Amino acid sequence: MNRMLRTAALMLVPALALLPSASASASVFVQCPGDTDGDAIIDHPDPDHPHAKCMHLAAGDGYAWMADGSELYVFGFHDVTGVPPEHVMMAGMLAGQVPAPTITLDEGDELYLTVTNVGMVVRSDLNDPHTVHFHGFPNAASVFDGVPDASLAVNMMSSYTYYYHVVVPGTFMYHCHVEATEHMQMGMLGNLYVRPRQNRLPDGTDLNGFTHHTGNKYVFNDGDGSTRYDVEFPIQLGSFDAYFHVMDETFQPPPFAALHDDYALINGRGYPDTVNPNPLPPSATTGRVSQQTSSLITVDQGQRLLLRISNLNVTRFYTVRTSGLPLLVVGIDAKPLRGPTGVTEYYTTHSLTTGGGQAIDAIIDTTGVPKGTYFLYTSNLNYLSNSQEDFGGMMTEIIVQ
Amino acid sequence: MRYPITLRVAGSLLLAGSALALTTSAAHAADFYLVARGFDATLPDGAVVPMWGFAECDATFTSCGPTTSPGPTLRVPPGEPSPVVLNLHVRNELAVPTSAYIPDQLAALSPVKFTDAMGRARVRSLTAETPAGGDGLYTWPDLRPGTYLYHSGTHPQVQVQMGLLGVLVYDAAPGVAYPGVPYDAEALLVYSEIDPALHAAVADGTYGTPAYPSTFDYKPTYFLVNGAPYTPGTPPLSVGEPGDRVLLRLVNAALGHRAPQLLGGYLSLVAEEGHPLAFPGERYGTFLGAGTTQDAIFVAGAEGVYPIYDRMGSLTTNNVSGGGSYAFLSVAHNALVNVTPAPLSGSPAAGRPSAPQQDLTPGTPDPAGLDAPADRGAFGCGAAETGGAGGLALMIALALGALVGVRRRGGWRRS
Amino acid sequence: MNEQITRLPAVVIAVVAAGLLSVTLVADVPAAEARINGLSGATTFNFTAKADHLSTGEGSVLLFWGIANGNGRAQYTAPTLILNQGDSVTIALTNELPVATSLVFPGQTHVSASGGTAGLLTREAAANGGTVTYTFLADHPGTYLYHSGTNPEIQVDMGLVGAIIVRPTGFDPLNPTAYGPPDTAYDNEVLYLMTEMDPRLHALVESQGVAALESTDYLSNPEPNYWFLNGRNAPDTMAGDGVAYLPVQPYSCMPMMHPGDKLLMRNIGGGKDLHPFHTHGNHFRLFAKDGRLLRTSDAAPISDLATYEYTHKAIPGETFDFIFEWTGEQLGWDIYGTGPGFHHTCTPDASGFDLVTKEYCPDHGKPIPVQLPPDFEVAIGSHWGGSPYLGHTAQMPPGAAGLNPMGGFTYMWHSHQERDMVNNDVFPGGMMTMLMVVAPGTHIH
Repeated sequence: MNRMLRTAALMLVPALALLPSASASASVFVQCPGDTDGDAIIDHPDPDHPHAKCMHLAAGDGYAWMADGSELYVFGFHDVTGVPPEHVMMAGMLAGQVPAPTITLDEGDELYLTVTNVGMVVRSDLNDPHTVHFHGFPNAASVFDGVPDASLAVNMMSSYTYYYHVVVPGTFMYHCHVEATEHMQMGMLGNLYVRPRQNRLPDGTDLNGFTHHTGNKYVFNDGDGSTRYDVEFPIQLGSFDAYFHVMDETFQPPPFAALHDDYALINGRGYPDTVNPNPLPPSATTGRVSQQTSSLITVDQGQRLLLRISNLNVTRFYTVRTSGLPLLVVGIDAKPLRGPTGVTEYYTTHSLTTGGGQAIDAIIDTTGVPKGTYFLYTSNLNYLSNSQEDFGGMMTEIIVQ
Repeated sequence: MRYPITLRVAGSLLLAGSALALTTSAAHAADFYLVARGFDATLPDGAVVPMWGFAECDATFTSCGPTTSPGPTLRVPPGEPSPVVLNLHVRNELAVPTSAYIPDQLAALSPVKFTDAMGRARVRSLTAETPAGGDGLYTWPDLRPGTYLYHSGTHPQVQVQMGLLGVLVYDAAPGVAYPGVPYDAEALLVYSEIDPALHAAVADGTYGTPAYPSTFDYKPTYFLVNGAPYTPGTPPLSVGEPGDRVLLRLVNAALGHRAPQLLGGYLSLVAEEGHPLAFPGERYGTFLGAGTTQDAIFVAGAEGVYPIYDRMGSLTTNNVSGGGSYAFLSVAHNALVNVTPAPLSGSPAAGRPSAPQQDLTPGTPDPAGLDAPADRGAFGCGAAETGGAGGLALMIALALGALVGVRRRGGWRRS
Repeated sequence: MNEQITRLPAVVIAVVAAGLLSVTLVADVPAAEARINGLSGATTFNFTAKADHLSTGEGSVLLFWGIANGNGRAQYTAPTLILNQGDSVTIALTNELPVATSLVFPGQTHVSASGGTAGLLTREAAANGGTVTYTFLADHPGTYLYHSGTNPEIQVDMGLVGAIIVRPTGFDPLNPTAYGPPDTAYDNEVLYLMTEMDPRLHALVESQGVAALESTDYLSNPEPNYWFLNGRNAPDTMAGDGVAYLPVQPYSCMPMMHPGDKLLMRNIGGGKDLHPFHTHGNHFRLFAKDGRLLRTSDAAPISDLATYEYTHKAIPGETFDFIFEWTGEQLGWDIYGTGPGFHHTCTPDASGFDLVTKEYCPDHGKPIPVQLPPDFEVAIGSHWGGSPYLGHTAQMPPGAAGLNPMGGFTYMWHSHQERDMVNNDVFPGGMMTMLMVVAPGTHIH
């Protein structure tokens, strides 16, 4: 059944190719200061918006590989930044990425994030709108919060530009909030984090006894260098229920009451695909590459490794742990782990339990750690499987070299 | 006030103790000898479940205690200058490779990988394997104090569930769990669970087939504390007197989460996964993610029996209520510390000694006249092997405890 | 977007008026108007445990076991006890259920039980008419819960769970605090008692009785498919307290606030499942757990171990309190709008906020940086007021919106385990409600 539908979907592609020419020019509308040709690339920086950053996401559908070799129908975002408006529909259709493109920002940025709804090609019956919810954005305005019930959600063939003045550093995440249980289970989830202003201090700045040097990176404006790190990896936990995806693919009502995730994932892949340093192969159905994000963690001995852990699964809590490496937890939910009067509450552990919507910043200091292979994996050990195949699931490797 | 004896009952005391004594030349090394083997456990409802477990042996593996799950509680003597080296010698009597692995202690790993049908290398053992029928040695070069879970690192999603797990305890100093965290008495609560269908599939060779393809189908129906589901009449854990600082070592070896909740008092959460917390939290309950450990201090204000039970509802035994993850802490003046109920062991019929009655009654005079330390950690050798002679094991422990009086902190009794 | 002011926004009133009038407007609003509904003013309670049926968010009916105050109908969740620190509390429980039951009071001191028969966790009232009496001393302020202590894996799911609020010594309703210290002061407070139910369990208990559960795996592998806030599924969470069509589910869960208000959220993990509780709109300051302030010691600066989160892992049995604030600080544009029809002033205080409107003055007069799509290119949410500006509404296509006539900013507060936002296969619903931030001067119900 699955295979037949994929074939049907493929046949739809040429048919749909006719659509964009009719509608794209009218509705793809990127708003980006200094962009003169609508591709979300700043051509001539606008002096009124020196810290503007622009990004253009196509919201649609696609396919993703599970590590047991099966392919799941997904909804997803595709990065169409740099794509001329007239080509956005074609570039974005059936190209949903899992996870969604990672958004990396600097404190002080103005983010102009345009979302164009390119439609769900396989679900020709489904005219769902889409949104972006910048999860955790402080003092959010409802108009840019992406909750469809409380604001506006963009219809197919149209664009919506979100504006965020980014003033709080830390690890956030983003996802579509339309029919949240369905669209999130279907994969419209991505990493998003903000680097602090402290990274850009002049060389030699004294931070309460800690000397900042150009190139130093910190999780927060910690004022003492305590959150300095050398290398960082976004680690987004998630999981998919194959039955739900097949039902969605085959035009059935979403089986919410039967949700039971059987593919536990890191950055949209199960082990051992998590440690593949390259994008996964193109979809057998669409020919498009959807899984760009490797979770292979490599670090030089002596370096400080930052894990930006976020969780966007929709069904359960996962405990993830390291094999022996201590985790210094310095931040939770894009806030340094410090009290209102400045008491530092960092703590050391080996495991982190999160549910959907939680984020944790943890640093591993590899000083004195023997070189070799370590693991980051769920200690809900039954989720070390890719559906009916063991030795997989929510696991990746940390190579100390 | 008592400091609980940190050596297990007689058998294990002799085995581990002598082993330790013999290795003092190797710069503060602690050596334990574990054999992994199968056994059949009889659960309280009569179900017989094939299990895998560890037993503790002497250095030549000629004399071993019973095979249990949780396996023997390994207690590294406190007070040695660091670094303390931990050596776990494993003899594998299973038909598959296995290993010993402590997720919260740092050591170089030698993971074992295989190449799958798609040409991808994937790990099947987080650390070096001990082959079926072979011996292995696992070393941690610089042991940190704390309460730890050890388990198989080989095909862990199956082997941990099959029962290859146990607890390692290493105190910073006698009666001091971590620097600045002294305690007067302790109780160990190890949570685990059993999906009998998985065990049956492993035992009959159908695991990994359509009959039971993977742990995706995992559904536990037995929820255990210290190796046994609660059954009516199980005596409470005697944890000292009112005012004592009782260290609760909370270890979740289950694949699911637990939320132990205390009635009648508050816990002070002092450490997580062997790392002391700078700011202990005051809670009446806590959360134990799968595979995690915590240490908490409980000070009871009055005599009584204090329930601590899983607020997440794992309170059934084979779907019958009134079982599962209940535990009870007895606080009483002049109480003896009673023998912890035996874990699942290889000789279930004889392996469930009821603790001597006098241990259970608050205020009963101390038969040894010492208010002496007694076994708290019969998570392995000892209580089970003595069968109906649990009282004998206790008396031996009492006697040995009296000889090894250093186990007590700050005198015999709080005045 | 066609901006049309359909009502005079309160903020305009405030701005047009003289300073004195503005102050009067603010003073007209009681300091703490949104109150938690419950039983207050008493220390002795006569409760009856009995069965009844509740209504779910999508219109189904479930058998539940609840607590009735006196001999009225059972309610879900059980009556919220609002006590004062130091109260000696007595609860006499009569059990009309077909099974023994009991109550436990985690975190309370000097708990004692008399009558009934000994159970595993406490003394129990026998089935079909048994009685038991509990007493405890509410000697610490804070947020707590009580629930069945008899087979809680069944009876909590069946509905025997409720909240306890202990007001601190010296509590002043006009200047309320949660725990006494000034940094626990608040303007509005809301209870957020999270529970869930497995409908299979309720159906089986109704048709065959509790014993039939032993031949199922409902208890070892629960499949809850209803998720509740204060005993209601969304969208009923947003209905008022005591609405007639929810006769056994009296408690609302719909927070409202003005910019700059301190909204106290008393949260309780009442069920058996973990829930990641997420506040859209801003971080919150988490300052107490299990009825205890997060601080180093009594001598240290108050609440100095509070932390900030945007999603909290609600643990079964845990209570946690936080204070939520929202001002729109540093959004980069004027939340009250710019240009004709949006005139207002902003006079910054020392921290940059207008005294009356709580506007962040450095953003005053900055236009919204992007153009919103025309109405036909978007789906319009039912809680959208029609305008991106606070306190403003605008004309919208027929059939759109309508639940936000005051032009508030609406934020979804929900379990971020999104499967909890479903009523037994019907989305949306479940453990979800909306926070509405309304313009200064707008009345909060």
